[in-house]
Amino acid sequence: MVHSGTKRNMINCAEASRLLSQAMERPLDRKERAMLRLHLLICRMCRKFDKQLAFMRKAMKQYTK
Amino acid sequence: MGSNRQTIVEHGGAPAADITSQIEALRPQLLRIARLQLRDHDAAEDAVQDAVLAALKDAPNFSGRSSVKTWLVGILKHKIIDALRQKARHATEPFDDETDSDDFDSAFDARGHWARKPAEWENAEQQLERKQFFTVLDFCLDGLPPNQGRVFMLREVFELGADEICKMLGISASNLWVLLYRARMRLRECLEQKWFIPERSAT
Repeated sequence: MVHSGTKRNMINCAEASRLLSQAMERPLDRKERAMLRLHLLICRMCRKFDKQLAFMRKAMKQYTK
Repeated sequence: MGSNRQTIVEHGGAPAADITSQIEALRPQLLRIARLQLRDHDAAEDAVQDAVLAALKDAPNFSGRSSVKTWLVGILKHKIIDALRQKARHATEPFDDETDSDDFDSAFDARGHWARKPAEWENAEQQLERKQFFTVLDFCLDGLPPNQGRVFMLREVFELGADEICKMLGISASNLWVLLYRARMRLRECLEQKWFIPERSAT
């Protein structure tokens, strides 16, 4: 809210989680990667979410093995 | 693994009793997968029936390099894809049926912060060794809205590429991303509540 507008380079958890999910389908562009990296650096919750995404993918792979 | 093949060869090309009974034993699981994708009991039964017939016919060629289950799921995958393609062709409504103002949005507050903080999933890897975990996973997959469940299974179980899924279902890439994102958010929430922190979910 503080830096809304053109200079906005901080994303919130909702946006970060969306990017983390999309990264499983497509390569993120430079800007997205930078914003995401910055967010993950300061957000433990989203780091957990990232790990959980990887775990769910692994669990689904095992689903049919 | 190689023993399957041997048995089959010994029986002169007819499906060996061994593999037939294995296929029979896996039928409920195949049906579960088909139901999650097709969301229609009869269509799922048909797809599994087709897959089993194809498997019995193909059994003499089963190399034994993969497990019987992997092999069967591979056959089922093609039957389900055929069924979904047909369905998409005859669809009268757009695919993105989920007008999602539902509980998934409440994962975040108005400022986009986690409304309920994701918990630490303790020893996550070890859960994959436990049969019960997969029962809970099944339960959670069942709880996904139809289209979310469908695309999630296509992506994560059948490991189709995003392009392939979009083409098959006639949806846009961004539409697919949204469906997958919602599916993952819901699944995450469900696994956390039902498996990783069941003791806290009561509060």
